[in-house]
Amino acid sequence: MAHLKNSGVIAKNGLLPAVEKLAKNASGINGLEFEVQSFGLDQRLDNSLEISIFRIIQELVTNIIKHAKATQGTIHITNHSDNLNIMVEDNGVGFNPKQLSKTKPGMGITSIDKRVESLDGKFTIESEISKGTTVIIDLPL
Amino acid sequence: MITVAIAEDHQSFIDGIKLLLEYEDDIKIVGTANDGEALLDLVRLKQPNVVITDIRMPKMDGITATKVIKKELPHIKILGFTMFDQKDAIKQMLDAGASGYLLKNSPLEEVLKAIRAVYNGNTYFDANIEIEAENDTNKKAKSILTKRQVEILNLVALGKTSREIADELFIGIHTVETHRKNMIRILGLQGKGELMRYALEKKYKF
Repeated sequence: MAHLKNSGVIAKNGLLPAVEKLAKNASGINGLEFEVQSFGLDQRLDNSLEISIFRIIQELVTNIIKHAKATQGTIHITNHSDNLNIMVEDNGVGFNPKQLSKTKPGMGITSIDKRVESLDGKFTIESEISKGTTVIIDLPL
Repeated sequence: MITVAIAEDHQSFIDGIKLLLEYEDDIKIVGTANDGEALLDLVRLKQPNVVITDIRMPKMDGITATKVIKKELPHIKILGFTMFDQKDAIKQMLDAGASGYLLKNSPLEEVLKAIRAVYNGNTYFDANIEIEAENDTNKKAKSILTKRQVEILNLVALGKTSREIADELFIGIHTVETHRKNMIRILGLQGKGELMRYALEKKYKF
């Protein structure tokens, strides 16, 4: 798990190569396969924004590895020109999002929520027991 | 005189082309059909020089009709006529034996050019189409849409709402809506209506 965190260094080369590397490194752990779908990322974003986004995706991927018992994960990054959509899906065990308490530390969700909030973004979790979880983040550009 | 048969399930398209061809001395419409089966009957009866056919039609699609016509009456030239410049669709029409391909958003003059070209034994492709059907296999295998997105697209084609799609696929409604939004962006479409139309065309597994 620890070497996954090192992928952050690659953020220097740009968000997309870093995410693709992350997905590649995370694939194969417990039979999990990650796929990256990106659109409109040929231009670099602001460096600090790219790093924030990378950290968020890293956290989400870690959650999937640790908790989801999934076989498939998909990372979508879509540039809608005025906002950036990040969607991370898995086909794992799912959970009841209503039971996520913001005061109870757990799954790193709180830290993601804070990061997204500081970027003026919107953060949504949708999960279905035994079907999987989707995390959707919209960030203004 | 070039004799032409047209098959298209939207009558207004037929009427438009008819109107255009009325003033051409060298081209004559010998009949029109609104579905693939009617087209076959018409072609067998009138044996036109050129057939212009839609791809998506009731009863029998244009690709199947083209195959049958080229088998029974190989001298008849066929022009595909459709909404999107989908390479798979073009390739399937060409494999079926079509001599050319037109987009429905091309100007009517293009239709004239195309009819004359294929009648003279040439091929004709709309200028907006990039022909690289042969090189397709060399392209990287990664498809633009994910499996989940294709699932959603198939349900969009059935006219289902985001809520219904969410229930059917056991995912959240926000997930469905985000996928729809992202697909519109990725496919370069203009909005929800266009996604629906794209989904309908895709239903034919091009």
